[in-house]
Amino acid sequence: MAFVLEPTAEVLIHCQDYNGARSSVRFFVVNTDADPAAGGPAALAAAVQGISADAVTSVETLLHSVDPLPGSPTDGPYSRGADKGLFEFGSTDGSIVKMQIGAPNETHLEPDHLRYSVSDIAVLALETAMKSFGKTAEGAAITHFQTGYRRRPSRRKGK
Amino acid sequence: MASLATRVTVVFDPQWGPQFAVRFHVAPGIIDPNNAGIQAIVTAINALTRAIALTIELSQVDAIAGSPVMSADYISEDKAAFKALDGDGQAHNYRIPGPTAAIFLANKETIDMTNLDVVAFVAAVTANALGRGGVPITTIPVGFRAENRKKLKSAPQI
Repeated sequence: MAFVLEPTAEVLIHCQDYNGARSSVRFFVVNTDADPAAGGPAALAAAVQGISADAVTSVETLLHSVDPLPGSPTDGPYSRGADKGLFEFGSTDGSIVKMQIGAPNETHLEPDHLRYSVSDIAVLALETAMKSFGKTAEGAAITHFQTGYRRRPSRRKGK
Repeated sequence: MASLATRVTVVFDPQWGPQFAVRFHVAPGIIDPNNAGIQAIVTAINALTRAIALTIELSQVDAIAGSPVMSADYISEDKAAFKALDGDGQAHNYRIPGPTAAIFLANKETIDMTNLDVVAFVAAVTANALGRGGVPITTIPVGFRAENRKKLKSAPQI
C-alpha cells in the first residue's frame, strides 16, 4: 500500500480585505517545495501581497497522493451502510480529539452493538497508533482512548 | 506562525455505501504520505472499517500577521486577472483579490506590466509556479481588472 504523490503541491494564499471579506488564490509548485513558510509558497505570498490591498492572512500547502493499487474493501455484516463509528481521545492540553469513521466493522463492537471497548484488539491498535503518532490541531500529544460508539446519522430531510 | 501539526485527510471507499473522509493530525513538517506514523493510523482505521484507503491529503498552514489597506467599497471586490502560459502553451488564470490602484494604467482597467510590484509578481510566479501537471509557468503576457460587483437593481416605476 504505497501512496504516490501528485507531481505538484497546491498552494492556497488566503486573503482578507478591510471589510472582512475572504478570498483565496491558488498556485501549484513542485511537490518537494511544500513548506508554507519558505521557498516558493513564501515567495508567491509576498508577491501577491505586493499587488493587493488585501492582507495575506495565511499560506496553506496541500500535498495530494493516491494509492494506485488500493485493493478491495472487505465484506461482512452491515447493519446500515450510513452508520459511523465515533472515537474520542484525550490529550495533554485537555482537549478532546474526535475521529469519525464510516462503515464500521460489526465484529469490533461490544455485544450491545453500540459501544467500542479498548479491550478489543483493533481499538487497542488505533489507540496505540494515535498515542504514538497522533496530535491535536495545536500539536498536543494524544494520551488515551476515552470512548467510542456507533453513531447513526439522522436521515430526516429538511430539518 | 508555522503549523503546530500536519492535518491528514484520508478518503476511504467502503464495500457498501458512499466514500467518506477521516481527518486527524500528526507532527508538523511531515510531507510523505507513506510516513510510518500516518500509515500506522491508516492501518488501524482499516481494521475497524470495511473500507479501503484511496487518497491521502497532507496540509500545513503558516499564518502571516498584517492588516488590509482601506479602499473604496465598490472596487474592493475586484480582482486582478492575469493570463499565464506554461511551457506547453497551456493557459492558466490567476485572480488576485483587492488589487491596488497603482498597478493599473490610466484607463484603470489594464494592468501596467512594467509596474515594479507587477514585475516582482510575474518573476515570483515564473520562478516558482507550475501547472497542476508539473509544467512550469513561463510567461504572463497580460493582466486586467475583473469586476466582481453586484449589479444595481432598478427600482419599480411608480
